[in-house]
Amino acid sequence: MERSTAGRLAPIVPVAVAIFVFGTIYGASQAGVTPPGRTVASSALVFSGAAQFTAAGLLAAGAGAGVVVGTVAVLNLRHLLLGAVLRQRLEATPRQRAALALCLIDETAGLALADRQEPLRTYVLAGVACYLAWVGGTAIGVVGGQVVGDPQLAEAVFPVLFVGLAAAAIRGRGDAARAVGAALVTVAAVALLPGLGNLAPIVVAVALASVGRRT
Amino acid sequence: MTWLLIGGLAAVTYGSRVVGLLAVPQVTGRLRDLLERLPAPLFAALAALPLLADGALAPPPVLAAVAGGVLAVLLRRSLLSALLGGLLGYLLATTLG
Repeated sequence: MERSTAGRLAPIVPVAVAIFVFGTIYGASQAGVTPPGRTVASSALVFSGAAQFTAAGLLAAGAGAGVVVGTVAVLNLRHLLLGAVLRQRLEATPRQRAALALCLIDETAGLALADRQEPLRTYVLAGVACYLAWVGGTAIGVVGGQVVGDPQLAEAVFPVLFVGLAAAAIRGRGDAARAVGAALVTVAAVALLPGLGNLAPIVVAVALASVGRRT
Repeated sequence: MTWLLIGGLAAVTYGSRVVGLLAVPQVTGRLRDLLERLPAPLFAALAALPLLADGALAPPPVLAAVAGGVLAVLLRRSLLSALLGGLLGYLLATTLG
C-alpha cells in the first residue's frame, strides 16, 4: 500500500526538529566569532553539523585552515560508505544523483534506507526538511546568540557537543574503548608533543580506528 | 570563519557526497572497517583537544561542562543528554565558582 505524504513526513518531522535545535546551537556558538551572514551561509553551503562543529571547534582551538579542511575531509570519508549503500536504493540518473548528493547526511540516508517502498521520495522530503531546519535554526541561533553572548559558554559548547557526537557514534564496547582511548591519548599527545597541536585528534583517531578485529 | 574556508569546507563535504553517490563501489575490507570505526574516536579526540589548549588546562566551567556531558552520556547515550548534562555542569560551576 502506498504511503501518503503525511505518513511519510511522520518520521521526518522529529528528525528535522532535532536538527533545527542543533542549528540554533551552531548559530549561537558563532555569534561574535563569525559575521551573521557568513554563519548562515556556511550552513547553507556546507549543510553538515559534524563538519561545521568540527571546523568551529578547531578554529576556536587555534587551528589553521589546512588542518580544519583536512580534518573535515577525513570526517567526510563516511559519506563514501553512506553513498555506496544508499545508491543501490535510489533510482536516479547520474545528474540527479549529483543533485541528491546535496542532501546526503546521516539522518536522510537513514530515513531513506528505512523506507523499503519509495526511498527516493523519502530521501528528497527528508533532505528538504532537514536542510531548511538546519539553515533556519542557524539563523535563529545567530540572533539568539547575539542576545545571550557568553564567550565562556561558547567555549564549553564544542567539547560537550563532541562528547555527545562520540557517544552517539558508539555501537559497542570496541567503539567505546577506542573513544576513551582517543580522548586520553589526545590529551597526552597535546601535553607531551605540543608541536603536533591540532593535528593530534586526526592522527590519534585514524591510528585507533585501524586497531581491532575485522567486522 | 573566512569565505575561503567556508568554500573549502563546502567543496570537501559536497565532493565526498557526490563521490559516494556516484562513483564509489561497495566499500569493503579493512577500509570499510576503518571508516566505520573512525567517528567515535575522532569525536572523542576533538572533545579532548580544547581541554589542554596552549599547554594550559581549560577554565573550570568548561571542564565542569565536559564532566557533566560525560556523566550524562554514561546514563543515556545521546547528543541531547550530553548537551543537557554539559549545561548543568556549566551552570553548577559558574554558580558555585
